[in-house]
Amino acid sequence: MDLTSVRPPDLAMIDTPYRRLASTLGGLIRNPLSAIGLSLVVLFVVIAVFAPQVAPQDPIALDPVHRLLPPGIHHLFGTDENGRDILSRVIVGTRLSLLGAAGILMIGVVIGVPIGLLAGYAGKWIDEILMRVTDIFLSFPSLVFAIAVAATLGPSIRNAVIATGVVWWPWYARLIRGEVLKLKHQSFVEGAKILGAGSLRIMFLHILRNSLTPLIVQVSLDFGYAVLTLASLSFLGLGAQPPTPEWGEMISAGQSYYLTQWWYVTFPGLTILVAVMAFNLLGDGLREVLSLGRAR
Amino acid sequence: MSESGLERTTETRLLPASNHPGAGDGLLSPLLSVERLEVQFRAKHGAVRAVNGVTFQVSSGEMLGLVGESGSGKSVTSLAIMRLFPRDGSVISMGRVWFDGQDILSIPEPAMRRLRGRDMAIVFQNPMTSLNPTMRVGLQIAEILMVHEGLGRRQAFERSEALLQMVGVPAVHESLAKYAHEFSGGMQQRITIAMALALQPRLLIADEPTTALDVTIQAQVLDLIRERAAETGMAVVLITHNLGVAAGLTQRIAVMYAGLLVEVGETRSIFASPRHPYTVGLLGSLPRADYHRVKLTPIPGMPPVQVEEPKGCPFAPRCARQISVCSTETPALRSMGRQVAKPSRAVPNTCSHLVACHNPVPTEETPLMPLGSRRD
Amino acid sequence: MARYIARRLVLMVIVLAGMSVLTFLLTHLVPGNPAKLMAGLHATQAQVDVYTRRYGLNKPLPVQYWRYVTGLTHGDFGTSLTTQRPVAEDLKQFAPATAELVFAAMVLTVVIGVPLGALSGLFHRSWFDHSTRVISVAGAAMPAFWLGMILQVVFFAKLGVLPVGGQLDILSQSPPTITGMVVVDSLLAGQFTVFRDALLHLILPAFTLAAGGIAIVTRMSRGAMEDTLETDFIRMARAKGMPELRVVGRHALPNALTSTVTVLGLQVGALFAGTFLVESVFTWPGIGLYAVTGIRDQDYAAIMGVTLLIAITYCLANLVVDVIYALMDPRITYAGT
Repeated sequence: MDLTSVRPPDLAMIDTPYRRLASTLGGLIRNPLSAIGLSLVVLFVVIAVFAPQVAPQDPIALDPVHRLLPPGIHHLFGTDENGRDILSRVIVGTRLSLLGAAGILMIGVVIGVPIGLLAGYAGKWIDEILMRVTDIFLSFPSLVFAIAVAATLGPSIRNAVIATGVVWWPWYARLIRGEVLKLKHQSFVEGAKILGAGSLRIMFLHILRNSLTPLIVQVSLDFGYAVLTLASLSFLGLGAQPPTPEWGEMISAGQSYYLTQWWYVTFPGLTILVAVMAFNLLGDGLREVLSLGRAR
Repeated sequence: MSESGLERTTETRLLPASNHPGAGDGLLSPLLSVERLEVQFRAKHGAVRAVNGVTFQVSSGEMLGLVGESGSGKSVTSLAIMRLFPRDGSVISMGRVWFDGQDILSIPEPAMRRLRGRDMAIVFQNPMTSLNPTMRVGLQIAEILMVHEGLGRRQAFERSEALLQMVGVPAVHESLAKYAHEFSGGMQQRITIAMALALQPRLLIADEPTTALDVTIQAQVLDLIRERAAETGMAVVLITHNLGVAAGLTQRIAVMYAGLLVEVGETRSIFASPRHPYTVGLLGSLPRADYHRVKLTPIPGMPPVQVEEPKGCPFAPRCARQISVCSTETPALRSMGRQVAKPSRAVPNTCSHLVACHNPVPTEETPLMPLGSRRD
Repeated sequence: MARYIARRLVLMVIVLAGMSVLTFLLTHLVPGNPAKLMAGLHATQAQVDVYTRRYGLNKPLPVQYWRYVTGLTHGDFGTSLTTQRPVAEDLKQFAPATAELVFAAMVLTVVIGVPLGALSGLFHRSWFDHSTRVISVAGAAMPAFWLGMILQVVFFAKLGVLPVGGQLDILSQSPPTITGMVVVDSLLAGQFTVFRDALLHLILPAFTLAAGGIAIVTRMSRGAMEDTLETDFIRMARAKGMPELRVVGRHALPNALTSTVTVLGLQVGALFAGTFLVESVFTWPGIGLYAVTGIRDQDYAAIMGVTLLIAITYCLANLVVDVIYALMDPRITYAGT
């Protein structure tokens, strides 16, 4: 029994976007786990934005004299076989990893949301066909399919992002379709129809706006997984190509050295682990805060 | 303060029903005696008081109706008697519950476990969810016999078959191998009753046993409980929000409100001359064929959620007979009728009509007088 | 039940047909000449022409697709550039090692994940629960390839207790091929030293592959256990005076497991995807390593063959899981969709 729920609903909390954002943030900070997630995510974003300024050394310039140095004062994470500072490469790689993950999710949303809207709103055979296609995409384990697509497109970070995004959309199509089916017959949609709003307007303005919360929650839950998938593709040589610093690519490059130079792969891997964990914790927290907010 | 009812004797017969020989003479101690039971749920900020000091007794062969709205604490009381709260310390039971001479709130868990199912059994409101969905019903009955009696599988299933027969489940042999969802709600409740009665318990708690069932099935299930109680002489606590259900079955009724007993008395006495405004309200919201002159009157408002120590009568905010003292002093249960046995000698409130009210309804007023509403 | 499985199989055929369209489109519609892709980057024009003619690449797309599909149904996955053999033969050779690895990882996922989660749900909010949750949060975020490398550093490079990769020590003689799975074959042949060696080689890759799944299954079964323990029928079992061990083991656990089983189906897909990463870290001679080699050599026939094989296996695994689920939960009727 939660006594706080006995309080009368605070009318002032409803409907202004700024207040809603503030109360969401407040909810996130109150839970220690999501607070950790949030602050780590903010830290990663700041590092990504200011990477060149934050990185202590040039991430690409060769320095053969200082090759494969263990972690020390000058090189906190050690150096690689070309004498490059691993810390600096991890910092600069943050930008690529986060941008890439964002790109994957954006492609997923841009393809998946209209398909889900159309399937749910049109119903009948359009729905049937679109959902069967979705099922077929989902019948491949997603990483396997992404690998296949990326391999055909050719190895590059851009292709890896496209391949993964193309594999990602069915999840969002399903999610949005489910929301549409829930909302389709609610009074505000029926009302808009009576007032003569066009189908497109109803779909994108009325229905989509009201399915945004679950979509945001899902995207935030997926962000960490997108980072992980991109790193995996890069590790297999399908993503960023050397000498571009990227987390998965760094681990791939370290494959010949890590058994003797443990730090080579340890720190990029730890960074992936922490980043994915941070996004997962934030996503979990967001889900809790936003779904609670909706239930009230 | 109008206490005109105090001087009057109620006209109902105060002796318990005939199949209840020992309760009135004050010599036989009751089977179950609940004394000042308090139950608190730990919440984030403080505790919620679900039961606030409840005292009542039930004797062998007797059927007591525990009546109140949802949230009045009647189901919590039954769970406290069976000690079925989670063991993580989130629920605290205080007071004493004497069962057959031992305080079962303080006995160790293994001893309590041996009592459950063997000496005291319970039937819950929703038979669909009370039965394990992935275990055949035969095993769900038989496991009681195997665990408590140490019977072998074969014997246990034979007895289970007989039990199903007894509660009126058709095609018993095939039914043993079925799952809960293959039965109707009424049959499911018969099965849970068979489970409860498997070892002929001395106390049966029936917690809203018919609320989840179709109206046509309700009477059958209640008849079954009455029949089994009459045959075995077990004590029954029938928990219900429906005074009508209690009327036909029970010898005595205890009315609960906000975790407190507000009126206890013989069923006839309660129906003939309810004294607590809340009881009058409950009767007023009861459809009855033999009263035609009044329409149903719901009690306005909701039962309160108790967080702090109750101050004043909890019913006062909804009460039409509220007087000034009601908001400051919590009324205690007091005798309202002629007593057959002196309360000091025997069980205090087995055979008298007790009411916790500063301004009880006079006996001459009809029970179906519509309650005035202070809010609407 | 038979009808349920039959209908699921029909649905599966439709899905497989759709998959073949997707893989066909992938190889035939991508920018660039598919014949060139198949012949390899450094192929001469004559070689490209051979492929163009052999696969009818100058014919209209539907005709090409028909050829492709009839080829697939006859087990023709094309020819691998790397091995210069039919892909189907390569798959036959490499699949058992992957099956062995995936099976071992699946066992670990269930054997570690379910009890961990169930105990966690049982001792809700205890120190055990909290530490399990930390482990599962970390496990779900773990890059599998990196975990494998770290385990190699610790158990091979530093402690020297486990081998670094491969299925067997170089000095060990391979057992006679029966199933193709070294652990099973060595046991069948009664070669216990080889069996022990094979098991030692299996530990790290299997655990690495299982780690992510263990985290997810732990989390799911914890939630399922927690929910189940709050149901009415558990309260009823306690009210019947059942010992706590029976309440948990016989009443709560089977019901909690039913919902965990559905997650296991999805895990099969994740495990297969993981083989690409884990097999390449541990040089495990399975289809994952074969595909990764294919990526480096731009061996598209090999990659698509592995992709299709995994997709088919994944579909079958999900069918099996659904049937198990239906068997575990008597409320599921086979009539509904």
